[in-house]
Amino acid sequence: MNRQSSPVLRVGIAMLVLTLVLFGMIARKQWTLDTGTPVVLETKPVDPRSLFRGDYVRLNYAINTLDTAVYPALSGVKRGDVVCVVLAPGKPYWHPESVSTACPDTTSIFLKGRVERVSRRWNSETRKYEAASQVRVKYGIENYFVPEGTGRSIERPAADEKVSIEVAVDRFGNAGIRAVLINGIPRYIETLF
Amino acid sequence: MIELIIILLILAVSFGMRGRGFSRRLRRELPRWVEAGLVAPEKAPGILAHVAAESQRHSLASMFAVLGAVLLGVGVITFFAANWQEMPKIVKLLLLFGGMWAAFATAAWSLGRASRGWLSESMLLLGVLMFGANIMLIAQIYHIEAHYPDGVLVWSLGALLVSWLLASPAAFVAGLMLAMLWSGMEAIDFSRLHWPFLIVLAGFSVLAVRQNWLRFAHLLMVALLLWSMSTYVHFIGELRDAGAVVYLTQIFFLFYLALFIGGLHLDLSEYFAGWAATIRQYAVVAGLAALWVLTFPDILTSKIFVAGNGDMRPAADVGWIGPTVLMLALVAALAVWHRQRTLSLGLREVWHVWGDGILGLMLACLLVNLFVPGSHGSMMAIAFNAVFFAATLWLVYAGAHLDSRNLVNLGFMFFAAGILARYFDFFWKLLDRSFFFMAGGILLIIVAGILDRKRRQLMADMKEGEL
Repeated sequence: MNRQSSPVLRVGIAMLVLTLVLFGMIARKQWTLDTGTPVVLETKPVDPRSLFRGDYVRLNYAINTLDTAVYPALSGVKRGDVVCVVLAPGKPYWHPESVSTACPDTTSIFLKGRVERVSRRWNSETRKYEAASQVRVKYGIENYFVPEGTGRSIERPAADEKVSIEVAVDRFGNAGIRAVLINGIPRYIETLF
Repeated sequence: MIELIIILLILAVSFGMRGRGFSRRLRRELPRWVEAGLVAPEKAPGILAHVAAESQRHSLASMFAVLGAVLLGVGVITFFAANWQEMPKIVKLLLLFGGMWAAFATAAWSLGRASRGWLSESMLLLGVLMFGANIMLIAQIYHIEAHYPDGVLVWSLGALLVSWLLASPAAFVAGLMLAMLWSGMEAIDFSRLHWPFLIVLAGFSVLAVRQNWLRFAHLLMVALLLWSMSTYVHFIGELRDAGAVVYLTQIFFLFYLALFIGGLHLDLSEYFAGWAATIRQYAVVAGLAALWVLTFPDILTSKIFVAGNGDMRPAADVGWIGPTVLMLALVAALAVWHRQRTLSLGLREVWHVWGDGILGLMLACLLVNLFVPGSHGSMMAIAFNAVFFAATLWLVYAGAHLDSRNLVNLGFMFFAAGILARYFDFFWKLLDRSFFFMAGGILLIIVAGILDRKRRQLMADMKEGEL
């Protein structure tokens, strides 16, 4: 940037770039929600509170914890690795069909996640860790912010209520929460505005 | 709460770094200008008094303005947090973007008015803070849950952009602190070896050099050294072989040594000379600390820090020899180049020659140690101690010639640390505990007395030399 250019122009450029970054965040998420395939996932929520951002529900999906005995491709993964979970439709919930460390380029619906934790058992005889037994994977859909004071109703639904989440999965494996369902009926639906 | 901590950190550094640099530099430079006939001797005290008063006035106005900006930012965020649920999404977005745009618009308005310099700076900082708040709140509104350090990185880059476009020191400090936080999150929360931090740090460094913000050299060096320490700790955690601590420390020592010689090179450059002293000082602290670690016989034999089965340190394998030799070659090349430059400029002095000699011994020790297993660690410890004490004495000598009180003080400080370490090594097991502490206390008092007398003597000589 030319040092002689007007300060107003320079502030304008800074403001424009920062605004575009923020719009980009919204647009990227909205694109996933608008173009993604709707998938319903089974959850077990708990209810922590973010000091800064208010109430949110931490969603614990069945597909967050994957067993290496069922998915051998996960035996060599470490924290931070990307894994792809191919989903198959079911009634009422979608379930993992296969898991790999390379995302498929097929038309199948897959979720891209990152390994958060690898559970290994310490073998005191060999003094070495054994191969991973369970892998915890995050998909970026584990937190859902709700109006203050309403987190508990999702965390502890009534005996006849069942909470599930409808997510949209785009063709790159990114996911976004589209709706919170109670007994299959949307309680919270995401809109652009 | 982390957001509040960041804001307080930004505030503290903004205050700490503000306004004092120019006045201090002028106090140092003005006598030379008088001597060169550039300034009339009778004008000098008046200039100093004026700059000091202006700096104080400007500094106070800026401090209050920045404090106001931060409080306003915190207030806005808290207000949103308290009334969030009642607002429709569109209102939230308008408030978030409107707040950021208003801060920048006020900055643009005040930038054109010389008397409103304090306001523009605080509004730019507020704009940067609002940008960070917007990242987090938009992530909340749209349930965006990415790899969370990325949000801090984007915030830091936004601050860098603002600082770059508008030469804003407050945005610079905010951005650099955020970059450090980002790297800390990646290193601590995700146990990552975080090389990308160096790219961001380079961006901040280029800006600081471009704007000639010499006062931020300290912050940049602290950032670099903190990153190098976290990288060192990461490697120690990852590497399991018994020689890891020794060979890794050698590589890091060579890195700091390269940084120190780089600082000497900068001294010879007209454009970068102002940065040289700070780089040298931080490199000396880190470098001598690393060399100090290598003076412990127990570390060189690996009686401590073993792999878990009590193995003695083996001679280095190719995995260690390769990077060490590369770093040795880099340091040697920098030293040879420095020698040529000082010779061609006619600036070569005796302390340079002594320095090259000690450097040669250091490099030889490091090279030989690669091939000497832990069973001969005590022998290598003697060699490392010799070069360590020689280096501290040389530093005092070089500091006196470079007119650097800090280097002189560091030389004395590390000399004392070396003496203390050897006292613990040799007498911990030999003496009864009570005698150990009593004798140690007496030794410390004597060493402190001698060193302080020598240091004062040297300082007085340096002051006389200045006059």
